[in-house]
Amino acid sequence: MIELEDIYFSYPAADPVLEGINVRVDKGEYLGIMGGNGSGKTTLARLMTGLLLPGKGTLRVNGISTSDRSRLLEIHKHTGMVFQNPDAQAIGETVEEDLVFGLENLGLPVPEIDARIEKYLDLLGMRELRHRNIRTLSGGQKQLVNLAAVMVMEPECIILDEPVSMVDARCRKIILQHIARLNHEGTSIVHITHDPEELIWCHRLIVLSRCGITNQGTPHEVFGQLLDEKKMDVPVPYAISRKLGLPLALTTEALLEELCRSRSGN
Amino acid sequence: MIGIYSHGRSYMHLLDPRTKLALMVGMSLLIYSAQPTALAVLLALILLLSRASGLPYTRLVQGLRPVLVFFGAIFLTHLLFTPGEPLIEGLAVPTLEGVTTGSVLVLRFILLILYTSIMTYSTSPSGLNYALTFFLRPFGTFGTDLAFMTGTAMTLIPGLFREKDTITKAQAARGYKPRGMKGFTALVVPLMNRSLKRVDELSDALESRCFHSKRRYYYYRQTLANRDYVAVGIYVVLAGVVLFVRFEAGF
Repeated sequence: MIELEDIYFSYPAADPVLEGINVRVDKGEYLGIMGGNGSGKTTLARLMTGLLLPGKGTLRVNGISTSDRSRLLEIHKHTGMVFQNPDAQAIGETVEEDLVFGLENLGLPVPEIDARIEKYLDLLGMRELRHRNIRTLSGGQKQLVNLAAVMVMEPECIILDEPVSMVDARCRKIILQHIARLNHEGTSIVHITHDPEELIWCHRLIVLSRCGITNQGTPHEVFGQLLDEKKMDVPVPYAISRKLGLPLALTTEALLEELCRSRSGN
Repeated sequence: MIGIYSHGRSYMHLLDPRTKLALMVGMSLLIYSAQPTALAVLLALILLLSRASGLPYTRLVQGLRPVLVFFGAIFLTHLLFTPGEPLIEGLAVPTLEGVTTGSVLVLRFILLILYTSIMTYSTSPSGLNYALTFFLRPFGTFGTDLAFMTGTAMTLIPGLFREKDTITKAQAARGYKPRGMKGFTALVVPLMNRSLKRVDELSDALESRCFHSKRRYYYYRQTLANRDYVAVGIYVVLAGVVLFVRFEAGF
């Protein structure tokens, strides 16, 4: 789906942000990308959607190279991006207008636009927000609108740049559930964050640090490496279960289950 | 207030955006050519339109606040530089003509802003873009791009006011009291910075949602209804009265 080969990128008059990056996102995969501030996560996300073009290396989306500028629009159709700041993404004034914008760009007929808007607003539980001015919504609702605006376009891959960093715990849970469901239904997901707790459901995890990839593998493998190296935080249930010598657990529920099982076993 | 849209089902909201845009141009011409008596009639009409769009008068008047300084400057310039009958004996300025000319000009600007506020309050940005694209269609892609840029710029205006508020509050919270030119620079520089950042973000958002210059606006396309013809009819009558008052009656 998305292939990055030996990617190099630097902003004008600045040190390189990314060097020698090789990443592959397969169809239907849920890829997590983790890293601290300034590690190049957002730059990588923007490269994957064709918003930035690499200085060196090859980047292909569904076989279309970003070096072919005449086909960038096709790349945008294949990949959707949810930005970190909910206010940065809003184009329309009302929720409906924001959703219509992308669908008009795709040239869909009006009945199809209506059907998609209703489908995704229902799916995200936002039917009553359809005519609300986006500025009057809460941070969590704005981020849900952003997610809906990308979902209605039905791209094959959605890239989420710290999608829940500016929302409360309840909205965070709702948004993460929707992301997991999207992936379950076949959409490829690239989820970028600095918080390991958000990435427990991903299939594969990559850790970025200055310029390059330092760790990659399944969440269990990567969290294990990070604990050994004492480089970054890992999900608390994972750290506790490993410390206690229990089967490794990524969620609080799984940890409690293991604790109960070990107690009843004793 | 300019650029802030609110969804609604009022008479003004239901008018075709093309009608509203055409009437805005027509109203601007009327306001420009109207004399004091006609300006009073137009003010009454604008207040009626405000009621018809569901826009409260308080919010309508609030939209004038950011440009009060500008109005003050216009009035003062006319007051001090228009020759005529002195108001105070022994002094060449201020003059009676200065007061009249300054007041009429300020009133014209006020009416323009009030009418634009009603128009943007009752017209969604997509509707506005559709209307602009419709009228600029003869200019091809250039017209479409220009329409989109104008419509988008309109939606950025409220954001600029919000940014200005945030900056001044942040400065006040840290004990800064703006004074003179230095205070102006302290506001304008971060405001420019933020605006450029916002434009950058917007361009990313547009690109990631497949914006292209050949896009069409069709979801909000409307067909002209009876209410549009009624609105145009009212305008024609009004224009006739204003022009009659100006050229025939002479007051």
